[in-house]
Amino acid sequence: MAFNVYHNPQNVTLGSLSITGVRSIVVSVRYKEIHAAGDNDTHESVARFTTGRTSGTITLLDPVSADSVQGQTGTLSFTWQDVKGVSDKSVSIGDCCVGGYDATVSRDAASTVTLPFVAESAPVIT
Amino acid sequence: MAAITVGNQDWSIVEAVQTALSSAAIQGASVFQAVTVTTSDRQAGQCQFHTSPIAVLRYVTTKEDHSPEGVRGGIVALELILAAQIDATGLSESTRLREVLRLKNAAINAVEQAPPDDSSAWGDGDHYHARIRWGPTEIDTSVRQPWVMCRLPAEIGFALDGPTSH
Repeated sequence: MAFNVYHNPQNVTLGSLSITGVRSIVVSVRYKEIHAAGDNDTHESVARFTTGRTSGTITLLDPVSADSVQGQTGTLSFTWQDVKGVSDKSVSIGDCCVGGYDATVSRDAASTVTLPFVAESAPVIT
Repeated sequence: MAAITVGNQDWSIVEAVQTALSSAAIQGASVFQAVTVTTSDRQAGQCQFHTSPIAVLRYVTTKEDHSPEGVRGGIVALELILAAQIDATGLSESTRLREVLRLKNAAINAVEQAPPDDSSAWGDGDHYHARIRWGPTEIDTSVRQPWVMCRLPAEIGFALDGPTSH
């Protein structure tokens, strides 16, 4: 098979703190763009990505765990399980800061919490 | 004539589940005295059981979904039919239910502990299946007394590298 499929984020930690009950993790890497064109250009003659920015959200079930990590900074790491169990991947994002959260604890429904994060490093996947 | 190969994974999955159930033991004693494979719902329902408890593994079907690059994600649908003779006098319905639930949970633990080598979860964004998914249990403790019966649906997931990898 020429490609892999991953599921089930596991062993999610921020520094030495465990983040429990994680349902999903969104990791976004975006780059600033510069664009420029000369007077006689019919198309941009300069189009580049410059500095990168890493951010994302962690969605979990456990509001207590979310509260314990919000405001903390460290290396965010977790495992992506290979669906076929052959080669799990570890993801590590250094200098990651978790700030605030949106927690919903409602009647007759499981609690959910969304933790936003930003980081000063790009994700490293091994 | 084109040369082909056959992996026959759906049979391997059936065989592995049968082996897991046959090998299941609690404190050295086999959980099931016999484990047989069938395809017929009527045959399984009409079986005259002799040893107790037993498991009948009914193959239901194989289903596939198409994924990118020709990969196929599939499931083997099975039904585990568990039967036990509980004929001590004065047994209450709840006691019979307790025993058949114990057998059902033993069967689940046995398969989860030794999942088929060819099984796996699979997903491609449009669909997803777990490696092993158990369906709703149907239990009958009264119609065929002294036998109690339990039907336990199961779906075992797998993935094939391509259309000629069956």
